[in-house]
Amino acid sequence: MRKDAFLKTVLAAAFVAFVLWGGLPLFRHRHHDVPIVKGPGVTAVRRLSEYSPGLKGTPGDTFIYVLQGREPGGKALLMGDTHSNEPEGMLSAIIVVENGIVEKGTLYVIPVFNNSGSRNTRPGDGYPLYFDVATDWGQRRFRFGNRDASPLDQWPDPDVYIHYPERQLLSYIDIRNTNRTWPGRANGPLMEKVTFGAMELMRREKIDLAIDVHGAETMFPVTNCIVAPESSVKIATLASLTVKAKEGFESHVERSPVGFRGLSHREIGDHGPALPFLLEAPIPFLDQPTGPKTTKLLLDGKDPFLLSLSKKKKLFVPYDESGWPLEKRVGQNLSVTLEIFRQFSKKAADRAIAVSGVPRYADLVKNGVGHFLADPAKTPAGGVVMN
Amino acid sequence: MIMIAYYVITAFLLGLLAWNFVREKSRRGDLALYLLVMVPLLLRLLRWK
Repeated sequence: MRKDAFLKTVLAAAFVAFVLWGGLPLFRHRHHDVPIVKGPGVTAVRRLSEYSPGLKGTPGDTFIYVLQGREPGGKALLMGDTHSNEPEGMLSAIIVVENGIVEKGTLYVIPVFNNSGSRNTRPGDGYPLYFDVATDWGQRRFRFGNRDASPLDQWPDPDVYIHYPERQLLSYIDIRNTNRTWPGRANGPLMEKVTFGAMELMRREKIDLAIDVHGAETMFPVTNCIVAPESSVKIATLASLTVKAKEGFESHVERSPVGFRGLSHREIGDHGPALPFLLEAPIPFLDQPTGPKTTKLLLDGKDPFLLSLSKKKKLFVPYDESGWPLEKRVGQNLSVTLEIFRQFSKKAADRAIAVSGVPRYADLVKNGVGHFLADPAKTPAGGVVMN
Repeated sequence: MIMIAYYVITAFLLGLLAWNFVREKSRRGDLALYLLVMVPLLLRLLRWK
C-alpha cells in the first residue's frame, strides 16, 4: 500500500513538472506584449473594438494607429499579421507607424490584425516563440505566432466552417483564420468580429484603399504577387509594372477568384467602399520541405532543401544561395504599398494619399529591417503602445 | 456559451481521470496513461495551450 502511494506521488510530481516545463513557455509567450513606438506621424491610437463592440475586453481586440495628414485627401488601411506566422506584414506596418509621415490624406495601420493568432504557436512544426531583429541599438524582440487564432479564444471548431454570408463550405480550421472570415458579422465567432470591425472601419471612415500584407511559400503559386479583384486590378498592374521597372523586383498580379469566399481581397471590395489589395512576399520558412524551423531560417530565408528544389525548377520564385531574407520581403511590401498609393493618387487627385519617411525596397536591402525600428527604451513616456 | 460548455466537459474529464488515477491499485501502466491523457486537458483548463 505504501509502495503504491509512493509510486503515485512520484508519477504525479513528474506530471506536474512535465506540465510546467511544457506549458509555462507557452503561457509566457501568450502574455508577452510587444512595444510599438508612436512615430512622428501618428496622430491617434484607437482600438478595433470601437468599430466592433463585441471585441471589447477580448484577445481579438487590437490597436489601430491613425496617421492623419497635414492636408485632406484619400484614406488607406494597412493591415499586418493577418497571419501571424508571416511577420513581414507586421514589420512593414510597424515601419510605417514608426517612420511614416502623411502629407496628404489619412492612413490607418493595424500592425497586429489577428492579435489572438499572434499569441498562438504551432509546436508540432517546431515553431520558435519569438524572433529578434538586429537594430542599430540592439535586438528588438517580437512574438512569432500562428496562422490561426488561438483555440483558447475561440473554441470549439466546427466540423465544417460555413462562411457568412455566402454559406460556402470551408475547412473547419478556417473559422479561426482572419483571411477566411471576411466580411464578418457583429455577433459571429471572435474572428468574424475582428473582420467585421475592419469592415466597419472602412465603411464609417470611407477608406479608399485596403492593403493586407502577407507572406507565402516559395512552392505556392500565389506568391511574390499582388492579389486584386476586378475593381483594383488596374492599380495593382500599374504598381507591379512600376516597381519592376524602377526598383528591379518582381511582384506580379493575381486575380482574386470570385468563387473562393472569405478572403480579404474578395470580400472587402464586395461589402465595402475600399479597393482591396493583398500582398504576398515569398517566405521560405513556411515551405514544408525545409530544414528545422529556426529563427535563422525565418530571418535569412536560406535553406539547402529549397535550393535543391529550385535547381529542379520546383519553386515559383527565383531562389539561390542568398535565400529570401526578411529585408527583401519587407522592402517589397513597402515599395508596393507606396506605389499603390501613388498610382491611386494619380487616378483620383482629390483623394490623393502622400506618405513620406517610409523606406523603399533598396533602403531595406541596403540597411536591413532593424535600421528602421525605433528604440522603445529611448522613447518618452506615452510614446510606446504595448501590443 | 458552447465554449463554456466545452470547458465544463474538459473539467469533468480531468476529474474523471484524476479519480481513476487515485483509485487505480494494480496496473502501473494505466497510471502513466491517465496522467498522459490529462496533460492537454489541464493545459486547456489553465488556458496555457
